[in-house]
Amino acid sequence: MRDFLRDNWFVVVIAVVIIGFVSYFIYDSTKYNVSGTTSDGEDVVASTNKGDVTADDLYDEMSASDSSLLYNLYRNEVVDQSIETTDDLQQDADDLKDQIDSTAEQQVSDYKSYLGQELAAYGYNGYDELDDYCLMSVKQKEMNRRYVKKHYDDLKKAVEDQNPRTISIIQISVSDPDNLTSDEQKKKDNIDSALSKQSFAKTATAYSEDSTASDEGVYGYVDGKTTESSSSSLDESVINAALDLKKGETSDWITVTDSDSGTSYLYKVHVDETDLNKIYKSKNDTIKDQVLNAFLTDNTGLEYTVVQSYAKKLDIKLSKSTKKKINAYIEEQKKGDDSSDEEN
Amino acid sequence: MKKISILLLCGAFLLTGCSGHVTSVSDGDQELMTIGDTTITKNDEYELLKTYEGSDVMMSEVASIIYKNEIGTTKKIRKEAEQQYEEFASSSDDPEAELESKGYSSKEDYIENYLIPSIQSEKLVDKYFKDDKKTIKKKYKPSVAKILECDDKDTAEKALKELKDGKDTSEVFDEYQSDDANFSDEETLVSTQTSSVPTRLVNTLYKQKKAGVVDEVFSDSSDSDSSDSSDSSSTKYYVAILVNNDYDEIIDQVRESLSSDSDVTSACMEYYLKKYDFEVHDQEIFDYLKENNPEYLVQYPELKDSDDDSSN
Repeated sequence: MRDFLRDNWFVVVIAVVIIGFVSYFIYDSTKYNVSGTTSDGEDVVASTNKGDVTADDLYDEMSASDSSLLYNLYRNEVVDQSIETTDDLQQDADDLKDQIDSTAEQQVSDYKSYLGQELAAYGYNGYDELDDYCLMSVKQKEMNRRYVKKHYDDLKKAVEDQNPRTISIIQISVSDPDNLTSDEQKKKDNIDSALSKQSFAKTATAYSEDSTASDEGVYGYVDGKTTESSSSSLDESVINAALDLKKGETSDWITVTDSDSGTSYLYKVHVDETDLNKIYKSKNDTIKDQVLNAFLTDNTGLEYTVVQSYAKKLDIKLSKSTKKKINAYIEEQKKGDDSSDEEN
Repeated sequence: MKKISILLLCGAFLLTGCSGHVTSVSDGDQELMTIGDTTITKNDEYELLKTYEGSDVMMSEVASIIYKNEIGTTKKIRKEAEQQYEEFASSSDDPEAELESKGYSSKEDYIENYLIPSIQSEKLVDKYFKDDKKTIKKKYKPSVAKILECDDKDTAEKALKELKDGKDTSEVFDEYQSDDANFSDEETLVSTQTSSVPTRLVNTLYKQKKAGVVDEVFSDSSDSDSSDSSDSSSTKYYVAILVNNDYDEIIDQVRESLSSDSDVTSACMEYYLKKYDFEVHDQEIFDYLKENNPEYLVQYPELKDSDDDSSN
């Protein structure tokens, strides 16, 4: 043995080092591994010396209010199995994923973990399934689009009742709206002068400081419910002015002061179109999406009706309690209680 | 061949050793829905619910075990919960709808699952001040005192002399207290959380054996390097009269002053989790807590310490 160690001492040293390294690696990678335990045959999630919390306890507590999750699981499958994945839809899904990633990354440090937790409420198991969520979202939009196209005549009245229109805007920022500087006054006068000679679109392109200037000032679709929407980026006073105008009319100057930044802006708003049929057929992708959203918003619960409609074409089996919860959830959403709609 | 077997065994050990236990419900294969060729089981739903809110719900279940054993649901607590419900109902136009929007099915559900646990939680913090007094005394060094705040050292020294000579306290305060003082001649609880007084004053009050005037003038600059105290005009000088530093006698004031401190509520939960030998047996929930609330993983105190270090 001594001779063997003398002859192979270097190999032995290397072996000891490797064994030490592997042992440390195993210890380090497993030191926070939790051990399983059971109580009356049930998996224990947390134990104390005065009682345990089992997986069944946890499930009972959490599933007491799981109707939205059950609906989402049901909706995800109905959408996925009803709409075929095309290259265009896949591209839209990829774009949506990039957008979600980029927004979340700016707002939350551990954004993948945060998104993973949020996705669970939508029926997706962690961040790795964000792709699936995005694909479902764009497929659901396509499903809604097809349904609205097919039932347009039945659904349009609710939208027409909301005074629909597409609008364009011109915006300039000013330091003090009550005391314009000479440059600001000159810019304002130039716009007034241009509007008397040329179209709103050309004037917006030439003078507006808003990002819509690159698209001839086109802001998009608004209606009577736009001011209630948190996604509207335009001040309520500008939208209300637009709703009071007829097709082709332009408003007077409207002063808006951002309450957060204190920055003031002057706006002109112009109504481009008020005929819903023409707006619906718009080739502008943003307007197409906005009109579709208007159909879904103005026809309360339409999104759920669409899912139910497509579900009828599939082979679906729901357990008794699942069916009861999903139906109750859909009924609740169709009543139009926006506050309980987690997806808004 | 033998060597290969050993290597494979080591490899398998390495792989299996890298993941901990993940819990599942006892009838997890039960089908909730089948749509086309996709089946969703109870376990699938459990996994999602666990990811979304598992750790929060589990901690509230564990808290319930602690409340039950430490506080209980006495008639007094139930009556207090009923009163709180009546106050809520009288201030709401439609209490039932409001409860529903908060996720409670009825008045009873709201009382049992929200109001009573809330009251128990407050009472547990109150109890913590008795149960873990050694830690609280060491960390917060509480005492009840009167603090006289002066604009300059001479004024403070004059005030100290007059107090030592036995002059009426309120007269001395009236004469020497700074116009923008943070204190009056009322008794106040002083602790390490009292940021407006020098640390040395807090320590001295806590250690002083007898009630009465502390024979020293304290200043803001005494806590820092002399180079930091170059702006002598902003330096404040303090004279203190210790009223009481017996923890058992001032416990109500300590509780009133510190019970809303988030460090105290967190330390309270930690204390009882340790007392009840709390352990997590689901790797996913453990990992979530390790990342977000390492202080709850009381069997691994080093996780909390490393979190404290990284946040400093």
